[in-house]
Amino acid sequence: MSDAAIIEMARALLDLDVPPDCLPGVRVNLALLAEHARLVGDLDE
Amino acid sequence: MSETAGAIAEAVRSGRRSALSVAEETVARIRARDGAIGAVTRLLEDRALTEARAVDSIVAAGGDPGPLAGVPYGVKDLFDVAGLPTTAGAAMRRGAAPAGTDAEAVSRMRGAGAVLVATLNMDEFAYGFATVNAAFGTTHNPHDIDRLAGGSSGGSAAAVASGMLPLTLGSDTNGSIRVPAALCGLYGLKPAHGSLPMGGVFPFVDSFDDIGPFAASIADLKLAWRALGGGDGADSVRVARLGGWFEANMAPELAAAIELLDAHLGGLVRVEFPKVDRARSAAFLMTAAEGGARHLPELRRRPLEFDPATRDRLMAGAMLPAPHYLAAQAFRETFRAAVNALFEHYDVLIAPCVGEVAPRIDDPFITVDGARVPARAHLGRLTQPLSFIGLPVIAVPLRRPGKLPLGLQLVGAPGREGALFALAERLEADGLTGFSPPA
Repeated sequence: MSDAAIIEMARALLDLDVPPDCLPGVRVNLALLAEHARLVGDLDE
Repeated sequence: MSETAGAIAEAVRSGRRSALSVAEETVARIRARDGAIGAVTRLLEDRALTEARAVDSIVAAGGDPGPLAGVPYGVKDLFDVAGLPTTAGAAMRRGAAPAGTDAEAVSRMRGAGAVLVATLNMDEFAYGFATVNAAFGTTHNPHDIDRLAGGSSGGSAAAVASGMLPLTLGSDTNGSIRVPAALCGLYGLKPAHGSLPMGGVFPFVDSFDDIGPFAASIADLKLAWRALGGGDGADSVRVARLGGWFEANMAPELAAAIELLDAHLGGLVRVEFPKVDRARSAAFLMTAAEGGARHLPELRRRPLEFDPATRDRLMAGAMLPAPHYLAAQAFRETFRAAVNALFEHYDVLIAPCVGEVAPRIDDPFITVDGARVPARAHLGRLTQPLSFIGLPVIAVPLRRPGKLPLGLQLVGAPGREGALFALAERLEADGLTGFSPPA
């Protein structure tokens, strides 16, 4: 996910402004969560 | 080894020692030792001396102050202590309104005669396994001060392992009692979910949060468990060992110790939980989502006042799409049913607690499947799948004089903590487990 996409999603869905200093850490953690979500499995199961 | 809680209480109840002298000695000991450890965030000298005098007054009047009479203890910085802000390890909460009353667990400890002496360090908002805190400092492992104490209840563990306090309270969401207990060589109890009172405890993840005690002996752990309101009794103690996920990534010395214990218990059946990796991932997702949602108002208002180590994780968690949270929650019920079926045949399952000794503070990584991964997020990989379904667990230290600690988990079915205590008492009596003081 790009920095621009993170900023837009946080603002649109959560009314949250992600400071520039936080973007690298948020990006890494979103990727980690995506990997865990993949492991948890198919949402249609 | 420092004096046990049981010995202190017996001496105070009998009038051989005053609670006041115990409290004064404890305050002096903390002042002398904590500089190198960094476990204590607030030394509550006035309160401790007042509580100790109250205990002595009861003894002088011929009364019984309770099973923890005069026993000094400390609490993780997320328990309400009347008159103090509950920081939850966060700099932004230093100026929070003081708690009006004590947490229910603190009230119960006082009712049992215990004397509160200190509040103790933690990872900010309990999100981490390291107790490396940007505002309150790093808690060092008393067995080697260049190593992590574990977290998030690292101050609670280090205070006992260093001999400053015989008992402390912590909280465990994904392993925050069990991980520091293992790395500091202590006993730690994460009871069945919901079995001890959470009133006045700063929350993290409602689905998994529990509180529990740390101690250097199983007898002291049991004293605290009972004082907090825990039950007793074990009809049977049928033991097996957990294989699969729980046996991977173990240091050779830990694997050898478990083999020795297996033989000592007459040869154990090896059982496996299904899809443990999925359970751990589901716990990870639910933790991120619930933690993120809880802190979203402050993340909006003052994000740069968070510890950077927790802030970015909380922000990402708040952004997790709801279907992933719900999928994790649904999987939890499937996993719980499969695990509960095993407890029809066994009362206690033995597993490692952390796969290796405490990581160095200047190299905070552990090895998983050949890769080096951050300790802060991964030290709980063996504890998370168990608290995910609310199982009670006692962390027990392998007896390793002169060596860095390694620990096991004794895992039970909800409400059957008595079986865990029975096995832990036997292993300690047989010399296989027990606290080995720092060299």
